[in-house]
Amino acid sequence: MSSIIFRTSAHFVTVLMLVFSVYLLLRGHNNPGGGFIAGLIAVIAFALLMLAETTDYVRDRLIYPPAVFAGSGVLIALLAGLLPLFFGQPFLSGLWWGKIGSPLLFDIGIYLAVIGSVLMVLLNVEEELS
Amino acid sequence: MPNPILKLWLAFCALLPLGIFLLIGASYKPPETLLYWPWIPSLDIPFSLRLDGLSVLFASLISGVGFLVQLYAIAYMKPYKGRAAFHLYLTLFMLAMLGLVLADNLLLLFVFWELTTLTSYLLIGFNHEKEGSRKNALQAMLVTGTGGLAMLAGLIMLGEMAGTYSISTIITQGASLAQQPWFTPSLLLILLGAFTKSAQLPFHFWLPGAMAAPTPVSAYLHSSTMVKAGVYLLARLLPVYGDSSLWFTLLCSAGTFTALWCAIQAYRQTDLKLMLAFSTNVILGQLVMLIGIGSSYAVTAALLLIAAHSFYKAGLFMVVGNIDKATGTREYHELAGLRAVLAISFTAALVTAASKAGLPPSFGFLSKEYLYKAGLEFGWVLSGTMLLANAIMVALALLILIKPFLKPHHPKAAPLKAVEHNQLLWLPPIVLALLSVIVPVALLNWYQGVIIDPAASVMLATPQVKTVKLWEGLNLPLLLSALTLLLGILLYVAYPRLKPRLDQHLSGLTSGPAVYQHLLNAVIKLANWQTRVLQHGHLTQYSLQFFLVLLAFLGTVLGKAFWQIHPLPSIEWDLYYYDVVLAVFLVIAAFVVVKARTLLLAVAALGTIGFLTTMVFLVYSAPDVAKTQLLVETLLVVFIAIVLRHLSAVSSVPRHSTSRRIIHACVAAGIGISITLALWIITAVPMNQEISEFYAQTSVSGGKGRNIVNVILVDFRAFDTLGEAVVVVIAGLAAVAVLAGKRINKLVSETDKEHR
Repeated sequence: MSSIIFRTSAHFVTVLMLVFSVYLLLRGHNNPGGGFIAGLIAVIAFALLMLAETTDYVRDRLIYPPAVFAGSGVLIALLAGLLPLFFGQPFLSGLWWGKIGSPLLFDIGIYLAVIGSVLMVLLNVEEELS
Repeated sequence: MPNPILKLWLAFCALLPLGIFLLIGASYKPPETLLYWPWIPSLDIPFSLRLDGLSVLFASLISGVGFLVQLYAIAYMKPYKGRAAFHLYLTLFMLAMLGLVLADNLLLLFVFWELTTLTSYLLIGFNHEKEGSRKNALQAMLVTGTGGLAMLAGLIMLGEMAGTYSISTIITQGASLAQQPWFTPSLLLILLGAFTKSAQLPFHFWLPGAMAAPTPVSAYLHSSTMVKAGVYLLARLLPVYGDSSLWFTLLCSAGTFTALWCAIQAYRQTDLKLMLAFSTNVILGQLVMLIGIGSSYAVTAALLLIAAHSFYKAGLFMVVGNIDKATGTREYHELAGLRAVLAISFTAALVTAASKAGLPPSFGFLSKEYLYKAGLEFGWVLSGTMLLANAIMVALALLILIKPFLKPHHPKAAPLKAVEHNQLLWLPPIVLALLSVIVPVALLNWYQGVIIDPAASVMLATPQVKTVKLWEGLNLPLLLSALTLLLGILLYVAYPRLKPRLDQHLSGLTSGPAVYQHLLNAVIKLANWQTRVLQHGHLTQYSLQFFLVLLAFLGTVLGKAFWQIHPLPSIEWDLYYYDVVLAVFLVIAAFVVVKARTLLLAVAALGTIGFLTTMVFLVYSAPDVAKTQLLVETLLVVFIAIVLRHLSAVSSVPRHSTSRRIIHACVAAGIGISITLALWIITAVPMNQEISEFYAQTSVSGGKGRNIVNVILVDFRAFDTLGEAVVVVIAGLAAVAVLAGKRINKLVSETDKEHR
């Protein structure tokens, strides 16, 4: 894990994977992808960074604790579900304005929830063991 | 809470019940008023309220006495921490109680019933720093909660029998349900709920235990509300069950035994509050007995006694609260000379105790007269026991009045403190005392027209309403009343000699609390045992347990299917070369996992299995599933790599004993064979394509997406996904908590060592 090649390339790869994960998130509705898969890719990206650097480094780059991501993810998904109620439709109905719709918001929520909760465990395990 | 906001809040809490009281008065048009709002239309559960004589009697007691108790609590709870929360709990409890008595739907009634249990838990356990307080709150909740569950089953049976959950409709059907097979079970279950709530023998013990609550709670819960909920339910269902002989037998025996036994218990207490608590049990027993009799005299007596008891018992509790304030004790032996500091409370106590003892012209006298009238219709046994219980009530009233208030202050007695400068401490009991006299003397006709007549007409099949009069000339009940007074005075005089004797004879008996404690301990023991057996912390055992259960399940299902589909369908082998290659590699990788002696190899092989499975998904064109599988496998490897990096100790796999390996091999083989068989049988039947076709057709039109898997996840079945996301987050938090818990434990044991 201390190889210079790994440590240097990890940063690039992490960025690339994060961009890829957002891409998968956005295309998910029409092509293979979606919030859950994209979230897992983002987690693996951060795991790579964590192995190259330290957990503190990753926490620093995240700005907010992973639990905040997890919690806000669920809240965003819930919000996407509540939104249709204001338009007289049942909970979690899809609302669409052109290509943008509440299912996308829902998927973003799932994305954040997955990143937050898995990363939370990953970082804690690493910190506990080292 | 800052002062002005607190004041505003207290004022709101006090005025809310008054507002509700007036609102009920305004919207009630005798004989009945029905209010209806839809609540859960899909389950046909409306938020429907019914205002008739019976529910209005209870609702006005709850809101009226609630108003006085809120006022009293403002003064009483002043020195307590968290008094704002106390008023909140009290208000919530009151609203739950109101919902209970006004609900016109069995399920709505049950919801409010449970809400009273929950909110009363908060009230009884308000002094939560004290262990006893917590314990008694839990006891009250467990006893009434268990009864409530039984009652739910009973109510559902009743609703299904009647074909409706509307109480108004059910009581008009009357006794016609008696022929139904569920009649007796529903009766028994509902009685269990009512008896636990209204503290009937043998569930009576939670009520005195609930005296751990602050006194305003006792004044409210144990005079007019919580404990009367059971009585209300019985009175409400009287038209349905009243004709059954089981109803008469059970209610009369439970009622009389409760009244007599708790009267004796009340006589033995030295804490004034406990005396009142046990005497509440007595009144509850009498009420249950009266509803059990169910004649027009009995119903009239019950309707009088409910109000009479609410007034005098709430008033007496408040007086005892003031005694507690003035002296810091409620012990009978330590109290004397209170008249000097509690002059106004003494007046209130005098009137309310007179009502408790049944002296004319108090409300208590009136209700006792009718109690005797109802009892006499059924011979001497019922009225005889009631006479004894009432005589003890007289003795208790004298005990509370004479020594604490009138005996000169003794130097050894508790020091006295003037507390009556706070008007809110004496105003509510005085109002209740006044009501105890004014209603029977001046408002009896009004009470008859508004409460008794409409209530009796819904409770009785053939209403022959009795016109209640305070004075009916010389008759047998009046003679019994005189006898009660005489016997009561005798019991009061004999108290110093009789009480030690009673203690001597009764202390050896097994009591309700002991049985409850045994049961509770048994439950905890069972929980510990099953935790030890199932949650032993050995990962291998966990997976073994899981697979054994799976095997048992698959075995039974397959066994059944095997006999139906016999012989097994033939398989069409249309294999491609890559199917075979994948299968061979999977088998090899599985063998490597089992035979590997180092953990790294085992993990690598396990990862290989995962990735090969991903290939399978790809081959059968499920790219989303394949992707997810691939990512999960990757993460798994990352996790295990982290663990291995730090814990070199677990890097080698120990060789287990032969017997253990044989067992594991058998389970594994069993699972493998049964899954194969299951797939064999399942794929033999052509798959139902309806669901997949529905998704394929509506994905674009309904979900505006071409990726069916994603459209299902975020649109068609988004509710499931939301639930799963919550589960993922909870699992993450739990894992972190477990990890942190280890750290905390370490920290605790280290600091422990330092302290030693």
